[in-house]
Amino acid sequence: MAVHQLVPHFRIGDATAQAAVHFRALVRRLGHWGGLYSISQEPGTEALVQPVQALRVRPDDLVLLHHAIGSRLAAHLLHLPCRRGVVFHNLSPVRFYRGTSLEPLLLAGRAQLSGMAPHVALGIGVSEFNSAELRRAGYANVHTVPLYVEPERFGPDRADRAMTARLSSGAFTLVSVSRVVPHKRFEDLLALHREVLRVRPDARLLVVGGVDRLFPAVRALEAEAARTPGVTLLGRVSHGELVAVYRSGSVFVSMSEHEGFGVPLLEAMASELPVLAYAAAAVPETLGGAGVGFDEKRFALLAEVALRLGTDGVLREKVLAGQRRRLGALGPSHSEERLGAALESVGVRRPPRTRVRRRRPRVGVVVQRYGPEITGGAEAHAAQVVERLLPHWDIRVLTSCATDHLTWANALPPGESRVGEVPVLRFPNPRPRPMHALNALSRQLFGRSLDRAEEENWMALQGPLLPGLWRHLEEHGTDYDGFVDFTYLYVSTAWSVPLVGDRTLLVPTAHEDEALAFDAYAEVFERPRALLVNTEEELELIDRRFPHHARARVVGVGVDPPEVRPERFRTRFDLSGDYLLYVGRVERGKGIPELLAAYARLRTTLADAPALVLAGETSMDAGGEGVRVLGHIGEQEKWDGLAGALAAVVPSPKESLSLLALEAFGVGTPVLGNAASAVVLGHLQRSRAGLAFRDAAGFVAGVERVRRERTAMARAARRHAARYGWARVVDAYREEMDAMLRAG
Amino acid sequence: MKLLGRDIDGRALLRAARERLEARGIREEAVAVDDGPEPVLEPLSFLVRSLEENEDATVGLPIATHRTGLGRSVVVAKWLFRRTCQLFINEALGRQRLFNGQVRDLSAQLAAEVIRLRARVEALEAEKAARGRVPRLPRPRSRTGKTRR
Repeated sequence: MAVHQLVPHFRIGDATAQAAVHFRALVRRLGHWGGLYSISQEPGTEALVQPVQALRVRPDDLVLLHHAIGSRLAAHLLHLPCRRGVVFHNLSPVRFYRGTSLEPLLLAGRAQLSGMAPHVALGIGVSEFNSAELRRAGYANVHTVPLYVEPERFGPDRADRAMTARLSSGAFTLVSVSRVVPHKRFEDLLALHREVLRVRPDARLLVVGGVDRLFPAVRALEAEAARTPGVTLLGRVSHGELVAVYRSGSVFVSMSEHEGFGVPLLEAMASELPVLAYAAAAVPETLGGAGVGFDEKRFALLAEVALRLGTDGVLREKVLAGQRRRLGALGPSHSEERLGAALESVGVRRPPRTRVRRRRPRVGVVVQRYGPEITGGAEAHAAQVVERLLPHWDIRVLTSCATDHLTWANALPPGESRVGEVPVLRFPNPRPRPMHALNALSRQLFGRSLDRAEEENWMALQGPLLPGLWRHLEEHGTDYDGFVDFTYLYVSTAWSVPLVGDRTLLVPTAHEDEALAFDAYAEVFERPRALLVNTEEELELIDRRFPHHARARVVGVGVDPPEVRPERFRTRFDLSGDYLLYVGRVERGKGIPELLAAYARLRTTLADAPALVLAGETSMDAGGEGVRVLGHIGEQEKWDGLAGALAAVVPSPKESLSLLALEAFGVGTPVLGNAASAVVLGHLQRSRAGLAFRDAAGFVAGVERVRRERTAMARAARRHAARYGWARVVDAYREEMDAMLRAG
Repeated sequence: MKLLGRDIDGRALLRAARERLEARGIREEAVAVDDGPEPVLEPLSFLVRSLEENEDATVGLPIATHRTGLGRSVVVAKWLFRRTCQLFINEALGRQRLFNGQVRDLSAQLAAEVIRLRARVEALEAEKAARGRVPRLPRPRSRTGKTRR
């Protein structure tokens, strides 16, 4: 039973879009999955939101329509052959929009609200105020699920630096965040600001939000604002800029005469800004006694109150303390509980778990790709773990149909199959990954502070999107005793973990990556039963980034090299003389361009420079003098090649384990690794079986030294690899799974 | 006027603010605010009325634009287009106008019927609740005109 959501128009930053994304996060935590669908959407959100025509429902699914304006989705909802519900955000009062093009849409929205009442099983008001309207409109089963903000997203570290610098001033500053439309009463803000100016001539009024110039009154107000000293209309801003505005203010003011909830009130609270708000509609309920409300508009009086609130340190601190309490009470957990009760009222509940003691636990292993043709690090890691645990667990691998990690294109048939002895259940990805779009979005978002919708949009684009997997986990999750999920980064894991969180062991394979800064990943690290990490460095990184993460244990992998014959590799690939070997994906993100540049320097420095051999899936032009590109090689060829190499090269700056380094150590081969990777550096410092390089000069020096000291380094490499035995790793996985089963 | 909030002494805060205003020689009245609740709309009647208002596709919607500056000249362009081309608009949309009228009549008929039937169902349910049993329908008659047993 999926819980899908309909949003008439999806635009990141809009209240209904944000609410839908938040609701979906809650729905996942409640053990259900569901898609987002809209009539129209902001370009670039196609992975996150699908057109409503693509919605396919089953009779026991629930579809929730976010209703805030008249739209054809109301008619669409009535004819969906499943359970139906309305999430009511309220409609702007028609009295403010008489004679405008918005009037018929608002009237239609009101008529649709009561028209849907007899045909839906569930009405959700995002405030008690809205719920009361739902009841008046004839809804029988009404629940209140308040909206929420994630306070950590409004911390001082999230404020955009340029905007903070632009706004830095000692002036008394009123802040207001809302679209400039008639019912928000921008004219009253101006009136209040003018009164403040009489006392503090340097005072400012900062207004964030689009100006809807369709309305003549708004155009007139815009002109008036331009004539009033200290007024800045900032328009739509990024999340980081929004935080900077809040944090540059003295007092947040709302003069709005109609709010169905008032998310900016909570945002201001999260930004430690005292709130002064006209107690209209749902505002008193959202404030819940925090901040300062007022019931009449007397601007001179309010200006005095605002000045006192913004400048009296004692009063300000008391108000902020109350706001923090209110924010704590209206957190995601509260909304999750309320939404859970609402869904339960229409029979949407987790299937009951039947506790069966099995001789061999039934375990689902979730990984983005799986198969003999896959050479990715985390995927190879998962395959090795699965093969070693197969004698102990009843395993089924849950994965995509993809072999190509760039597009996630469906290359393998969906459904049940076997890879060797391992049962595999594959799910198709409905949408290939457009790498150029992902790269462009990454450039746009990385390093900036974001809201949840922006982060989830990036995660959806990253993929692989596996709705079949999520439906499987929802419907059949209780058939498994536990799950082992690999790689936090991909939504195949990130959106699966919340569905079955407390029965999951997560192998995060985390490394320094810009996406690790996303708060949306917090629950992936916090909800599993335990984290099985690869190295101490990875654990330190997770400690720093997600201090509330689940219990973690350094497990890593085992290294058991087969019998090797280096000459077999030389003959097969016609290699004579020394060579440096890299095995893995030959792509930019793995540091290959930097390696090629360093190698070119080596060729000019050393007359007898060793060859550089690159083996693995190749997705870039990696040619050059002395460079051999082999493409994909077999498992035995890899071991033979590593054993015969002068050194293995690990150029990637982002490694969570560096299986290649460990495997090279296993056959007594030194490693030249990128010092930018804390994990590789840690291996090299602990083992003394190789050297780390920071630049081309370091790489050249490293090769020369490896040549001189290879014998000693080889001995050190074998000693270090001896610590990584599979028996210890298998024991660790089994202990954690048993502990989870015992805990129930 | 009242100040609301658990963490403040609203009266004291207001009193202090008033005193400062008085010291500045300012007295002011509250601005009137109309904040009554929005009415619940009966959807069938509303939609029939909307169909009546919008049935004539040859009549344009109010001319508006969100553009500023020179972009606002689009308002004049739209107005000019309507003034000069109304004849052709009427010609192109003649059949649409006819069709919309028929949809209006059909919808009005159906909506009236639904409203009548709803009222009838409500009356029957009320009757049932009052009697505590299901109202008995007349027995079907056989072809010979005799009541079936």
